[in-house]
Amino acid sequence: MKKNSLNRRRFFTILGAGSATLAAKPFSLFASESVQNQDKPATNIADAAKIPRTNVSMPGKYPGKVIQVINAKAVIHDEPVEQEAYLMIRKAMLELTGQEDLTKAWRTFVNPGERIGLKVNPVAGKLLSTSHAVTRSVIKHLLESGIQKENIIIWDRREMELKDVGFNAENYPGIKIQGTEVQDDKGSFYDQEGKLYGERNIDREWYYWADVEGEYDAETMPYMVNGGKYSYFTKIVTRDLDKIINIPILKNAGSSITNAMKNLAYGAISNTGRLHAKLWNETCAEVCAFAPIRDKVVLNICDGLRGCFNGGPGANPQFICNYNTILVASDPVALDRISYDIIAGKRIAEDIQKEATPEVLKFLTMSSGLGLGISDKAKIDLHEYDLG
Amino acid sequence: MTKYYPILCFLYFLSIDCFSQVPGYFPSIDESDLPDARFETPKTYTGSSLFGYINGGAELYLEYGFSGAWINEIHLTGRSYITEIYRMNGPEEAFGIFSVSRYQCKSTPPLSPYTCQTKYQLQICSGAFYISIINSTGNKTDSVNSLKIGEAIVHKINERSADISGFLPGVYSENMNREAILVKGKLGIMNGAPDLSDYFGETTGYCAVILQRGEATVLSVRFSSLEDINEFAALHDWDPGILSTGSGKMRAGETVTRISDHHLLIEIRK
Repeated sequence: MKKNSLNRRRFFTILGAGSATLAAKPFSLFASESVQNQDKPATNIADAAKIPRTNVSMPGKYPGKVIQVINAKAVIHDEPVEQEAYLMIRKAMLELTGQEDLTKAWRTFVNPGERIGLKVNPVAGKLLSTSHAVTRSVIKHLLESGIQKENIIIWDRREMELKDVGFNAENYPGIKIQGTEVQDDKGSFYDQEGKLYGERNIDREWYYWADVEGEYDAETMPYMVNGGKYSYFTKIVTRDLDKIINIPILKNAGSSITNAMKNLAYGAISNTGRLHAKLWNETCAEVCAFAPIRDKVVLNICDGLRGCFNGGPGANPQFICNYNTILVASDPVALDRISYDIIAGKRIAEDIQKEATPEVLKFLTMSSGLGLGISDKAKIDLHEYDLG
Repeated sequence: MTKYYPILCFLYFLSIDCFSQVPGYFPSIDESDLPDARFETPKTYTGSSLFGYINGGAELYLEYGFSGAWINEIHLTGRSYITEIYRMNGPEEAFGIFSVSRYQCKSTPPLSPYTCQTKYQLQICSGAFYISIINSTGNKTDSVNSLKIGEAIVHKINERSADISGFLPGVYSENMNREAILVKGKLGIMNGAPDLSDYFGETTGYCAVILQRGEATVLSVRFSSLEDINEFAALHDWDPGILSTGSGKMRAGETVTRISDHHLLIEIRK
């Protein structure tokens, strides 16, 4: 396959995937070409636009609308409180949808029979993972709205990291826990045939191509699954799920943030090591423009009960704080923009930086250009609630 | 014999700077160092495999120059401590990662010239190693246990630590060890001195020590080459004539002193 080109197999894959919605919208290359920066390595972002959008494509049902719920009782002794998290999510869902009935609010996004993936973030370990309080609350809401337990999957890129922070069968009985990169009970990443388990879990029909070579030593490869210029989407998003609820954490990344868009983009593809230095902003935006993410992520629930304001995306205890906040939106771009203000406010208060610099959020501008959501603060409809 | 002194001296200093410890050496500890402790199986990472531990967070370490990491959960008096030892490419690199990671230190235990203890973490920079010991409850017992673990690790390190004062000739600050930060690229700046992000722009090939001194920010910037220094000068539209005279005040108000061909001292007043 040549760069920025489609082979015959790929072409029919895309046509096949798009056929269900072909009638809904014309085949168009919307904003993708306009955001390709000539100084940056080329990517296959133009491919993303070749699959027509659906009625649930990002930014989803409520573009630009973000609900922020604050609750001082949500974290006690640095431990998130599940009952309070449940109430916060309840409030946010009702306000986001304008429904009075909670089940109707959830059914706006998900329905019984659909396979629902909860994209958590365990990367920074126990100190700064998506909390069990929020994850369990979301599951409780889903079950109460009629979603079958066996149709709920907690997923992320690395199964071993999920286990490390307690996303396991013992804590989540009946819920499937799934990762792309897998270590067996003996600690090996390789099966008996010497093949990476992760290789089975990537979908070579779906990829993000970028003109940056991923070259890894033997020790690094299990965490990347493959090298080269292709980052393949995990089968979790291309095949195993119908809908995705994104549950990132409120974290900084330098003076920028790593929240909804980053959680999806870097969690859904292989061979990411090559993308951090040269294409971080592009990856955060462009990977989410591909159909398996764009058309399946229906809801974003940012776990901001605890988060960090510096040292992110890693977990440095001195930079971890209680934001006591949950943000909910169908629009991940708008949600990230509001998240930035919360983190920047904390950084200014802590004298980490003097003023907010939202211009660093290039990935949000790019995302907006790709039609994935609203990044312009003036156009975001923020609703704030304080549960006391 | 005396004619060989220069060569012997050169080899001696070379051995101190470059070969004082076996490449790949880790001051990792086990039950023989802390008999009361219980150790999980350690995880180790080298080079880019650090992505496997901290994903995108690895970029900062790689920017500084990362060699390897030893990670273990250590149990002591019924409590757990996530202990991370990062071997960087040299003492300056270790100080760099330490300097942008510390924050509001409650104390600076005398385990090495560079330490920082908070409720939940003990950070140490010793030789080419950056050490982080994290607890989850933040009480006094945790502080004491963290010091025991830290001491056992530092005891096994036998190499010089970074000398930050060497970066700032003529600049005295009693808080230099506590407050100076060292950066080697964009991510270091973003983490340690985000307000200087525009000042450095896309500059590469430098190592800078940054110190807040009253109302002034003092930058000691060592460049890898004349080309790098010239690009930095061009970024700020500096008059090359002023740089060649050794010292001068630039249009934007900062005072720039050229200490050597590749080394600038910049003072920016608020």
